[in-house]
Amino acid sequence: MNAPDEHGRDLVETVLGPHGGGLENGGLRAALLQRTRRTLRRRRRRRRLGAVAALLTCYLAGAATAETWWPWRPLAPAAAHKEGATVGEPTSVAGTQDSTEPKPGREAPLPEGAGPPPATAKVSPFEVRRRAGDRFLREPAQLALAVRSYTNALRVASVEERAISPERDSWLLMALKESRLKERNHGNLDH
Amino acid sequence: MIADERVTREQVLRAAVLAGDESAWQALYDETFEALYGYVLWRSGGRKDRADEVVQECWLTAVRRIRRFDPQRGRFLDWLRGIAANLVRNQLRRESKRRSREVLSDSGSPGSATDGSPLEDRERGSRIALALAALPERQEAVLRAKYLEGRSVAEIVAAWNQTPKAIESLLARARDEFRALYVGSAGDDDRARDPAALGWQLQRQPRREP
Repeated sequence: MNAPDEHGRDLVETVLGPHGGGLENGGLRAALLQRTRRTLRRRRRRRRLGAVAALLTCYLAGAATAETWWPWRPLAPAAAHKEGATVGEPTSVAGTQDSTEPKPGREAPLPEGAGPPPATAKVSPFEVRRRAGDRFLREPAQLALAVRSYTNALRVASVEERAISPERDSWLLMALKESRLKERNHGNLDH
Repeated sequence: MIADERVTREQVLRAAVLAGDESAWQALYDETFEALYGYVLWRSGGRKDRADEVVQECWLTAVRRIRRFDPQRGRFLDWLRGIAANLVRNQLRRESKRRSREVLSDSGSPGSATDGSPLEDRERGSRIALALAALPERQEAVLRAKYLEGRSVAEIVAAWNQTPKAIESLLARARDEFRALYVGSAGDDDRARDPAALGWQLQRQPRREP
């Protein structure tokens, strides 16, 4: 059957041999390259959009978490102003507890993380300012703010709170309390 | 090119294409376009209209599915050929169904030319395509090496790492099988246009995964 005949090997070679003139496909080649490149471009764009969407999702998730779980949030400046608080005052305290108290003037801003305890616990205005002062005292280069917080605390302190307490008071607060006591004593002597 | 170098190069190009690099894609495209086109034209029995259609679909499929291409398993061109072979087979099936509908409705000539080529050439091209699609994969490969790529038996022996006798035997069987299929499909006009006669050959060869 392998011998050449009418439908023999010649037929196979003729039928399956190279097809002349079939490779004039410059137009098809260029057009097809463009189409496939467009597909690649779309894929690249989708990848970039995906990355941007992922970043945006992370950012929004972080923002939502902060909004939901952050234990203390300062009031908006307008709200703080409405409550009669001064600029830089720890607004949540001013808004909830200081409305009937004497305005202490310009107070030190609360340090980060030195927010008041949950609303259920009752803390005196002195205690809030004292804690703020403690926080400032622990941070480097915040001594002036600590002094201002302690001064404000002493301004709103009760008689018991004005007494020196070595267990609770920091060295700075004790020094301020002592100097106040001396001032008062001197004032009494003068009178 | 050494096999390892080829694998590394194609892996790098594949990764670049997946990242959206157009120049990497163009490198693969330019290297393989002519060879793929020649293969598809050969598989389509020299019918340029069919070859154009298959080549377009093949490249669009390739760019969408390049993630599935594994250079460790074979060359990029071989992967493309696998896709093209499946597409040719699908095209023949579609044509078979279309002819079946035409015969049933008896509307129009089943072999009417749409691309201006003579009817006989179109019929001949269809018969070649059907016979090649019905051949076992190994026989189709040896015929491709011999007649499309123009390799000698000695070159095929070296490339396939086989004995000359094995290759000659395979080539002889492939020729005989092809001849039988080709001549067998050239009965009278009714048989040549009978969808069942066109379709039975395709049933013999299972679909190959690229």
